[in-house]
Amino acid sequence: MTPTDTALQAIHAGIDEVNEQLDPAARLPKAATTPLLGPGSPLDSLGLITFLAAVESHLRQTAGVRLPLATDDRLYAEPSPLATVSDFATFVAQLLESRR
Amino acid sequence: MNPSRDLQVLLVADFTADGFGALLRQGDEGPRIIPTVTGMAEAIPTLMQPPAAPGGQAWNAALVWVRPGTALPSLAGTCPAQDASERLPDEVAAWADILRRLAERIPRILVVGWSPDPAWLDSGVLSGGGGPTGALRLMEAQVLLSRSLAGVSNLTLLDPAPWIQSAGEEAWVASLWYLAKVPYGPKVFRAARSSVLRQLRRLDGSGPIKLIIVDLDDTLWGGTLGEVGWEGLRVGGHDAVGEAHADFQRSLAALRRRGALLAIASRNDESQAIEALRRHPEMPLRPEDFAAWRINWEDKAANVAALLAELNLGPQSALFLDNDPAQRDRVRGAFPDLLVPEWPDDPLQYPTTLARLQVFDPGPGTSEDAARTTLYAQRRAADSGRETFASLEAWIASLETEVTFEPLQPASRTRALQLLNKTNQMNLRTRRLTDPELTAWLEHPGREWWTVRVRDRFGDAGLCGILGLARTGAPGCLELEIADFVLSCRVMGRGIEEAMAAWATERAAVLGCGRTCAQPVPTERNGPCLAFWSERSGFRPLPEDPGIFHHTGNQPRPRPAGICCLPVALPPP
Repeated sequence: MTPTDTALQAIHAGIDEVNEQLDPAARLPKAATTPLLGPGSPLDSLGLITFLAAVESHLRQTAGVRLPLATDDRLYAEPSPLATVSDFATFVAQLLESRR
Repeated sequence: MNPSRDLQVLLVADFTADGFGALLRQGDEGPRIIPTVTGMAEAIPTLMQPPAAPGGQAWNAALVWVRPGTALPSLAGTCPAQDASERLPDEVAAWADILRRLAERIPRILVVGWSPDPAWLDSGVLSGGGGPTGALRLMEAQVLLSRSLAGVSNLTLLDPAPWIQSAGEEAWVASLWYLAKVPYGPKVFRAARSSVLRQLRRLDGSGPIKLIIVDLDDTLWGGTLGEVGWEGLRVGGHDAVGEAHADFQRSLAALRRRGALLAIASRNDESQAIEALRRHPEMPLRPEDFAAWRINWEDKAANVAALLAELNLGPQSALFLDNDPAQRDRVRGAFPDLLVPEWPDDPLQYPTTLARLQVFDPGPGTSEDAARTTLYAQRRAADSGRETFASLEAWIASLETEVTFEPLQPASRTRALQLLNKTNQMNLRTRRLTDPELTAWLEHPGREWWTVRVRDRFGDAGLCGILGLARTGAPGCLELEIADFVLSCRVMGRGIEEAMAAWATERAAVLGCGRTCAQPVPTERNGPCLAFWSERSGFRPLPEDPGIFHHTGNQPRPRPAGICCLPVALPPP
């Protein structure tokens, strides 16, 4: 599995996690253009941390990698890697690649 | 379970519980929860002075989840205070007082018990050279709290240990705590949700479970009674599966002593089943432990209805346990309010699965509770025969059963012979053949064997039946004798027997036979087969010999509705 595939799998797991707490109408689709942060995202700060913690957990369990995403300040820079699912997958994949 | 109303629940926590509140709101089992979550800094003031419920309604319940350091200041921090032992009793008493007053204002209170803080020093140790650790002091406080609240009948202390255990290393997620003040990982909250919803289920008017209806074969005991006899059942003994079944029965016996009623709904021969309960030396449960039973070859939902009527209980008070997913589906569909949990395939999981249901009244029970089964046995009511369930035909159709008839293939020969030689209950003549004997039998002209494969929406059951056919008689008055009619007990009673009988008549028509005959040979165990031929096959007994059932004429028997038989058209001879 490529780093991008691994990253996407973990991101989708994170989306599943937060969707469990959201009303059906507000749930995040697992699409490349889905916004994770900013005006288009239904995630509040708690939702975002829950999402990031779930991604960290999935990477730990499936790839054996500990990535401290929730405390990574780069996520809150402009432009943010959390702008879309695709952007975040690229960001995480680069981190995974650098750990090889 | 279908929710009958919304429940206003006040969720008081000393941590960020919005996510947990959202989980409770999205839960799909039990009643619909409308949680109001307090701010984490407002836990104690809220408990002492609960706000009004939204929209002028009344609170139905409160869920209190406060960590030990908040409720018991001497246990705050990473190490208990030096004088914790002296201060704890007063701190516990004060906390109990707060909860007691809350219980006077809100009809149902659930309080999550305390669990050790993962940051506590001395984790994994209860006591040592330095005296008791925080974990041991917490246990002491828990016992004190439980005793203080013993008389508060509308308050339940929940044990978070199984939730935390189920989450393993994911129980505590550092980033969630330090960034959001969420003390547990999502797996803990999911497990908590299930427990809380089951407790709140009682507010639906359901109450705790009063009646447990169990199946027998591969549920109460290991094995199929009709195939192996009571001596062959796996209960107890030096056998992992037998031991698990025995533990499962002991748990049911304990529930019975606490006042639950036990009943049996099983497709079996009643006298054989009762004999098994009576005679098997390792059987923890005996016939007198059951308040009622329906052990026969009827529709299981009909039997459950009869049990409920006899015991004068509504379906919402009952629990149905059966290893067969098709039967669970049948009962679930007939009784939406009856609890039919998914049941594991592995009997080693039965005792813990029963324990995790958490739908029984806690506590040791009273002498009246223990006598309840006897009372019911003494005043059995007649079955009112109320039709409270969907039709059997509709259920059979919902299974999406597909039955495939194939001439015997080399690849299926071994399995077919196994089926012939081990099946007892749905076996026309119970003849046993070796491979050479089958070869010799098939060498005669006009004889053929068909295998029957079954699949439904629960999966592929594989090769489940055999039709052995023999053409006899002179041209112009040919007959087709059903020499073997065998069906696995796993798929009995779902219309497949009818499909096989109809298939035989279709084959007779293709072969130019004017009559199809079957002569069941009664044995101790093939009562279901005899019942099928006399009551459901559509064949009639010959006037000159009632032991032979026949279908005469050019028109085959119609295939049963709701079952797809393949091939659609029979191949020519």
